[in-house]
Amino acid sequence: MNSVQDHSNLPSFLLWLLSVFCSEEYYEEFRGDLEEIHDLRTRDRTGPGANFLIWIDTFSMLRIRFRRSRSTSLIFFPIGMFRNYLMVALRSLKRHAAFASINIFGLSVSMAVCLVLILFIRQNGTQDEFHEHADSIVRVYSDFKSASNRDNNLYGTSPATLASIMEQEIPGIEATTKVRSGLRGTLVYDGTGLPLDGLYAEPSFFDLFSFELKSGDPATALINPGSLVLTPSQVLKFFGDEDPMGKVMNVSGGREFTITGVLASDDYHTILPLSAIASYSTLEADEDTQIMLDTWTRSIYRSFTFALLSENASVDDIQSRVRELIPVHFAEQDNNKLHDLIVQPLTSINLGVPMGNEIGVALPAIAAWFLASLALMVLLTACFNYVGLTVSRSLKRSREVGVRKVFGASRAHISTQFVFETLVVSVVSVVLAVALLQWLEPAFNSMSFVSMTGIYLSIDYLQDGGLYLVLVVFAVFVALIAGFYPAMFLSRFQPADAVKGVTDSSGRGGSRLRKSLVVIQFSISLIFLIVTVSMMRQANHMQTADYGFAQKNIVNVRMFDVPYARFRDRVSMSSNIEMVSGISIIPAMGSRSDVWLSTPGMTDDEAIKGYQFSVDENFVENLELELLAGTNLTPEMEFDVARKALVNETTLRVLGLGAPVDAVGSTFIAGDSTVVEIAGVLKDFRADALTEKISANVFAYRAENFAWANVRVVPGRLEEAQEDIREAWSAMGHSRNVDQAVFETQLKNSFANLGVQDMYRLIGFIAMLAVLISCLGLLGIASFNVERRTREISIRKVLGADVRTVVGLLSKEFLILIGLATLVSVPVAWYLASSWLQMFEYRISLGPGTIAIGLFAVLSIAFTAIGSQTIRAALANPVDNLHDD
Amino acid sequence: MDQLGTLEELVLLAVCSLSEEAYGVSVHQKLGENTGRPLTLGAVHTTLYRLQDKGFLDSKLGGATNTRGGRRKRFFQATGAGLEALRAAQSVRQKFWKTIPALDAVTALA
Repeated sequence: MNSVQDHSNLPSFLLWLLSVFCSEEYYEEFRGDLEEIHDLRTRDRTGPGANFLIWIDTFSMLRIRFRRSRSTSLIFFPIGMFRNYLMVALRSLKRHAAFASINIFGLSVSMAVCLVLILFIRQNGTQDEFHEHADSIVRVYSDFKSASNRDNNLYGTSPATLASIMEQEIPGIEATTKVRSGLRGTLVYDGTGLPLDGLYAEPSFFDLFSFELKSGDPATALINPGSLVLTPSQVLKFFGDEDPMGKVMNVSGGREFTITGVLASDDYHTILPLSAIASYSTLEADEDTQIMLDTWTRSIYRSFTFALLSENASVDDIQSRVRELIPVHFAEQDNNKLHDLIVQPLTSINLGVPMGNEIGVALPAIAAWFLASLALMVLLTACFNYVGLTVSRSLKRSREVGVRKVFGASRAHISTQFVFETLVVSVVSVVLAVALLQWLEPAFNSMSFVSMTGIYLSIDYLQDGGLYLVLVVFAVFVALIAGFYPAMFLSRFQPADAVKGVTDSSGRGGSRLRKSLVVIQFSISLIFLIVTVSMMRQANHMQTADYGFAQKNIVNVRMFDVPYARFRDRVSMSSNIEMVSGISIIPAMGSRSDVWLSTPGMTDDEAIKGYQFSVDENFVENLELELLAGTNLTPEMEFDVARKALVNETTLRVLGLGAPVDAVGSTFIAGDSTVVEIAGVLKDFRADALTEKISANVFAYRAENFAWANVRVVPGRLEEAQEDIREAWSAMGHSRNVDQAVFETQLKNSFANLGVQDMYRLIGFIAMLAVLISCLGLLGIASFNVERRTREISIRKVLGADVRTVVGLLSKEFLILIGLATLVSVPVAWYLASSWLQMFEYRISLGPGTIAIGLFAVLSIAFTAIGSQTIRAALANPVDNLHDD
Repeated sequence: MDQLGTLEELVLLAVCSLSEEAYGVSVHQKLGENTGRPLTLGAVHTTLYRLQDKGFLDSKLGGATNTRGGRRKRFFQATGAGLEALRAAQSVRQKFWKTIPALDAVTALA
């Protein structure tokens, strides 16, 4: 009957139009007339004429007098109706408490995860919106190729002179401020030394940005050279309760600063690193620095240009004017080329284009998208679950729908009621999710990518009014996504059928949907899980990586500005220490120093990017490297004099210098023109992060560059040795505390390693969640399925079916679905995992084992869920279920 | 009493000539056959309902049948007032016809 009812020869759009527009009074008659006339026409004349005329006829029916009357439309809703909906919703939740709690649990946990990610993104996205002129402040960044680099790079910085030039030559710019990074060193007062990492800024800094001062005058605080503005927390550390104003502080290197102001807060929601702000005139007071600032090719690395646009100025306009400045003021010079200057709103620095020399820590837009899509996946799993569970239980509610319809409820009323019910569930889940956030927030903040970047998630319910809006929008969004289909589905029942309990015809559609939802859910779970397993194995693989150099029993000590030789001589006196070597950059930790390598025949474009290290004579022995040919470096081979260096095998290969033995004594060119002779060749080892291929490495003796000491301790005497190192360091008389780390631990916690661990923790958590939610859903659907077929099962058992047959019968459908999900997800997971692994040069091979582990985990949980229901049903005594009939 | 418009008159005539079988589609078809003028279904419906408002037509929903997907038709029937209005309209025309005796001959020749 239903299928007859729903069949129509009319285009579905017209049907929809008619149903939306026409009142119930006319709808059936009109639809019948239209269908009949269309049928007659299509039979009489063939061709497009009929198809065209039916549109004309349908539109001709849409007259005001046939319109649906407003009182039944959804827009004008009586309040009493809402109260009734709420009551019905609460009653139904109470009556089906088990299902409601599965739904609420799944939704609230996934909402909490989703909220963490959304709030984190939102927090980054709203940075710097508090400034009074936030919308009119722009930053100019550069697309720049430096002489020492072959590639163009985006820099957050721009030439130091740009701000003044813009202010003079471009109308529509109200004010500019120059900011320069590199206020570094150790800030010392009265014996206390703390690392300093701040900015230099012009007095106009406080005009553009709405930072306030607790003490000091923002108009004058940054005028005089040697002025310094600190944050309240810094002030507390140095001065305690004393008044800091006018106090003189030392920065290592001898410069003196006078405190002229204290910021009002430590926690401005800004991308600018505000720990300390020194006056820009400090830089200009120094003659050499002033020359550097006036030379754009030198000042471009650390100077930032901010401008305040006047009200009627457009960013596009300013952009083209700024671009015109390049050929005039920043023409190509000594192989330095400024390709572009780009004007960017202050508020879009974060969640924008990733670039070098960024002023603060910015989350790249792509990372935000990645997090957002994870969030969406989790939420969708939970929503699908809701849809699946609700639709699978439609039989139970069909009678209710039927009775309501008989008493005059329209389809719109019924679907509103179901959406409302979903809204209630979703609101309850949001409330629970907010409670869960209290637990998730610290867990999220302890992940290394968060703690390393310092952009902590902070959820402030009192200060942040927008937060509530986010929560409300979130609840409504979920209610619509999860509630829409079930509402449409349930409200479609015809009263007569529904009351009689005939829902087979409509149930079939529902079961198709239910099946596809199960497949989608399980596919997502499987994909997440397989990817997680591969990440976990990769993380393990990296933890135990063989770098090709010694890392056991070595402690790395940072030299700051203490001469390496002094420290080495002092620390070598300890009996707990076997050997000490000096190096410029700790290998394999992710940081490095470029050098372009070539041989005389090569053109500029053919030069190869390599990395240089400054090392001393003990380096090779201390790190247990293998010298394949030639001789080790000696202190007499100071690079600037001798121009000799060690290279690795890769260098020989990329420069075509032949076998190690032959290569010794031959030369290559480093940078533009420095001719370097190969003193010896080292066997390849991993001096780069594990994400990278082994590249060409050059090791030269440059005593002034030794920023680290690799101290080899006597095995088993680590603690004593570390104590000796501390002692030796304090003998150096430096204001900083000793900075020492065990090499092995350092490598384990290298950026790449921590990044991988974070990723698998995050994705692993989400995978667990997805699996859990889908299995709860499966449990619900399976138990419903069993419930519906209780009588059938009992009759089968009476007629002689055994338990195994019944379990098989009940599980077959799910087995097929899960099998299908496996077929869908394995290739996708394989593709995702292997493209993720491409990021790592040092990686696991993605074997069937990884896939199998993921599959096994999901399948065993799923079977437990199904089995628990089916076996119970199969074991039940048929008499209990049949004695009523 | 309301006057009949031209379209209203034609629709009313069609309803009368279809006697028991007058509903949207049949009226539409009848008008199409007899006038050769294409009308939209909507125009027919509007006119039918306007005539009903004026009291010239009466309507009732028919029972569901196996044709056209089981959807019911609304059958229209002329009321006494309707028939009277038709006669009145016809007598007006008749009066004019009588004043032009030559017209029959003219059309016959043509």
